[in-house]
Amino acid sequence: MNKMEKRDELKAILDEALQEFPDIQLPSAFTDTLVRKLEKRLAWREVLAEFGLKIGLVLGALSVLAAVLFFPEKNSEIPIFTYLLQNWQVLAALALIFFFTYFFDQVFLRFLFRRNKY
Amino acid sequence: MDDVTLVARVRDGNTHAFRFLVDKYRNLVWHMVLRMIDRREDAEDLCQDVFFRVFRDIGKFRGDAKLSTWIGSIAYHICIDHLRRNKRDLVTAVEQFTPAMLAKVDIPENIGGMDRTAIKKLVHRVIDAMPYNYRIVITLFHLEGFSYREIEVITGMPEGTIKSYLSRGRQIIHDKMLAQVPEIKAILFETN
Repeated sequence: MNKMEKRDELKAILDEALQEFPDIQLPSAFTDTLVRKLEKRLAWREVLAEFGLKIGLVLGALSVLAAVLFFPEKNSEIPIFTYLLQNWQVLAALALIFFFTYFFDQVFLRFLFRRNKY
Repeated sequence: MDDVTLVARVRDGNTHAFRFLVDKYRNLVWHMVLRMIDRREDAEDLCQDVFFRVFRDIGKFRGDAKLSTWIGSIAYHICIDHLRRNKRDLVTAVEQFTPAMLAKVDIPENIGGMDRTAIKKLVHRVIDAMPYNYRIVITLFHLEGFSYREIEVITGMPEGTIKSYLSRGRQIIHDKMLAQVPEIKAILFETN
């Protein structure tokens, strides 16, 4: 092998080395783990979106009801509003209990069951 | 499955298509991340972050570049953010780099003659000791086969800089090989 050939061989080794990667591989389960995590995230997002939508619907319905009751008799005192204003602490407590029970049932438990599936 | 169909299915939230996409591009992302990040423990987490970002932003993929280029760009920027968070002197390190800094590259065993495997190991060690800009450009060009234009899209570096990193990086590796393997030096500079 003359000098030129040896130089070419060195160049070839360098090219070969540059086109290879050290033998460190991603774990074979990488794709499975990643997709499982993604599915969990998607499930969590879906459950939260559904919950938000339902809460939005309830609040929307209550707002419409309040508006229907309030606007026709704006200038007179409406007994139901007086009652609600006088007992707002009880109502707030009831609303909180409703919210957390609903959240627990619709989000937390559902997510827990879905998580066990993955 | 071609990339257009793949992107359309992933965009629809199809996790099977996403699995296919991950399998297709996992090596590209792994090579890029591992070449840019010194800590191997962080590399796998960063690969996951890259694919989560791909899934989240797939709607933004317009198809004016190849899917591999777009994914490469996401991987590059996630690695840069990671490096910035962990090393403040990232830019300075690249600017202050001189080939003399490679003197500390340790050679695990005595390399004798033209032992291909040992020389390749040396090449990889030299690459690992270079700043991230050299490493990533060398990896994208030689290992992944991207063109200068595609590397420009991925890294945002001008084409001239890319060419300069490639030729300088290659020269550095070459010089280091000559310095570390006396028998090669003897072969190349022997008087016929």
